[in-house]
Amino acid sequence: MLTKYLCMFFLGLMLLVISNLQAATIHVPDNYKTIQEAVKNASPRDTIIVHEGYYTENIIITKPLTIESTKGSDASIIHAAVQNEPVLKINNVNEVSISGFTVTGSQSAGIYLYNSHNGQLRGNKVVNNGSGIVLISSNNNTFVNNTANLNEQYGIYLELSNNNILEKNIVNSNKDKGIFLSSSSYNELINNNVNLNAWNGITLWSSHNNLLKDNNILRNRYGIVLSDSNNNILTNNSTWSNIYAILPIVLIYIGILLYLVQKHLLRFI
Amino acid sequence: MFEIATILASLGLILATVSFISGLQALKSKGSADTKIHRFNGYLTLIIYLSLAILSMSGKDGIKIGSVSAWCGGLAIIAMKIWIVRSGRAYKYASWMGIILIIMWLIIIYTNIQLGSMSFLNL
Repeated sequence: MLTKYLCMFFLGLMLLVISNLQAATIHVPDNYKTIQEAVKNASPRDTIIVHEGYYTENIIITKPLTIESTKGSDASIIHAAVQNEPVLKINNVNEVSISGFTVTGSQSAGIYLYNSHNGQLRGNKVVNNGSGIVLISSNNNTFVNNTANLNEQYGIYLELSNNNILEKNIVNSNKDKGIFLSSSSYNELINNNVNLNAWNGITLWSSHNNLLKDNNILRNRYGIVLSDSNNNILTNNSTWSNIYAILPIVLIYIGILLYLVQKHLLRFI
Repeated sequence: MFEIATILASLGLILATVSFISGLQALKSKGSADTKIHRFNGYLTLIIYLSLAILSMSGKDGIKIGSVSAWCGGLAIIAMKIWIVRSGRAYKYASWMGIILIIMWLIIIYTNIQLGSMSFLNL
């Protein structure tokens, strides 16, 4: 009987130790000077807390980790050290969470997910890269409150990626397309702002059964473009591509009418 | 649907148009109703301009040098137009100044068309 209790006690103790190991928190630059060094030395499911600073590096993540900044994206900036590599590459891994960074300076991609699933990107600013956020063969990821602006090609690009949720993201002023889904299905694009992109706001190419809901898609060359795509649901999206051309003309016309009204009114006074 | 800045900018362009047309008409016939319309709409436009400038600079992005310079530049154009009219050179220059003011309001409209969380040019 005593042996049984001792076994249970040691088993519990081991579980406690293991769970503590799993919940380790690493601070950058206190524990490691670079984020990549922290990633390299972290165990799966560790949390890496990055304090404010300017980090010049390319980070490759191949284990499930949570990487967070302490003071948000304006204070924690990651700039590509090698410009033709992604700033953050999440490669063949599940459940990576990244939040609160400015990611910039790559001619390839700001954040690149390859064959990575169930991840989360929250509150990141991915600006001035080749493309902003790129997903290849990555499913069930959630992107919320990210900004993907001023990238040379696409703001957010999904290829062969399914069941992802893109919510409340800002995708503005990219030099090609805003959000591009290529051969990607069952994704949900909800309440995103996709404005001022040089070509299409949202493009679906050979992508099926996606939901586009409550998105603002203003002042792009074309609002929503669907090509070879079936069974997509589009509800309550605003696509006022040409309002900036029409509105001033309407206002000047109203001005002329108001002048005539005022002149006639003054005659009676 | 629209932000307050978009509504104010739209109103500003309407009144600037009224002021421009009545100003041109007032040049032909001095002391007419057009002068009253021109002044009334002109001062209203100026108030809207100042309101928009205050709104822009009290926004979440705070005061930026580019933004302040742009608004001050616009104010300088308005002041120059008033000075030209009052110095008796209206017949020669006022139409040009009026066109510049209309262009200025078009730029304000473009900067204030509602764009979710972003304003074009970030003025």
